[in-house]
Amino acid sequence: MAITSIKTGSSFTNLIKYNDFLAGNPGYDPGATWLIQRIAGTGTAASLQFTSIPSTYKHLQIRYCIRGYDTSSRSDDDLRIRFNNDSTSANYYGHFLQGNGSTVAAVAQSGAYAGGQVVISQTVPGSGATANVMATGIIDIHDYASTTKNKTVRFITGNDRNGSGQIRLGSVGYFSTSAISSIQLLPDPDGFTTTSTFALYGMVG
Amino acid sequence: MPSTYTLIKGETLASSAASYTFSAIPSTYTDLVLRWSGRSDTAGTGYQNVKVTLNGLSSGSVTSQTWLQNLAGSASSNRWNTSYPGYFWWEFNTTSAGWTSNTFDSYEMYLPNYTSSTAKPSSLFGVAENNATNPYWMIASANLTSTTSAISSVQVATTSGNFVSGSSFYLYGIKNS
Repeated sequence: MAITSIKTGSSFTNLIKYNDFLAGNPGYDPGATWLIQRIAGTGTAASLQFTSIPSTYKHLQIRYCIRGYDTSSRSDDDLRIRFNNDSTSANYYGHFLQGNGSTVAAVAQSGAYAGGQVVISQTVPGSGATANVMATGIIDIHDYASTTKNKTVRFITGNDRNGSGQIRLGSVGYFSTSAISSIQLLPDPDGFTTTSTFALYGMVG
Repeated sequence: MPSTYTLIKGETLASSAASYTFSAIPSTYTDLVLRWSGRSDTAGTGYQNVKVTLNGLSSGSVTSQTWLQNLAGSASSNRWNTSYPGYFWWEFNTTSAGWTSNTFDSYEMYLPNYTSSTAKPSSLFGVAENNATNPYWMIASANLTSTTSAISSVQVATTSGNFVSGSSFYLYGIKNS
């Protein structure tokens, strides 16, 4: 209910009139990180993508918790990434450093897979993996909206299955100065379960 | 609900510069996050050094680092400390002019409890991409400096040459409540 009057003689005396509705309250801090979009797996043979990404942030961050959907009961599925639906493999390069509890490897991925698909993970638990085990990861894209810089992407991803696991630090070079406006999240061989989620955040700068 | 992750300052270089400094960092946060994207104008395809210096330290402290890296396609781990006398900063690598054009590195450093009166740790993850197998650089690093003063400035600097224009630097503050 709106306040329409205050009686004189009440405790509401000597009130200060402000022209700012925030006066007297703590300053409002909108924060640096905003959720742009969250998408979930479909439980079918389908890729996912973030589209119409606004160029109003400085950085993007994708956080995910996923499990592969496949029709062949595989233990391990792939998560691959592509930007702007750019399928020119020569526009990509990937490197990563990984360990599985015993072996360390440093690997270069030249030119991505056909169709410009750069592998983020090759150990996303598939339909044949221990039930309810998920892979998680964070992907950072610095200055994604720049039109003068190629895009350098950092990521950390991994999973543990109480008996085996893998951790991977990686990077993707997307050698294009176009602003990133869409990101394709590509499963191999089939899709992501309905329990899988990818969340895209924008970070101000 | 108050925000817990706030931009303190961000800037993209309009012209080349040997360093970028965040100064007068407020003490009102719990942790700091430093992000930068740089490229050196030094000729060649070598790895160029980048150093991160806290509070302009040039004496009276000891810095040390332990890291895991993918350097030119080879995994390795190493560390250094007072065996490098005269180092009062943490050191990493960046691209040089001979790497794929318009390609910059990407770093994130986390500095927890930066106003404490104890030694300051940090962790870092950074990469310098190139459209080739080599040269290439990736590092995950744990760092420490013995200074017990609150961190009020952070400088990111090349050890030779300049950061090219377009290099960008961002500092965020995190509150725990």
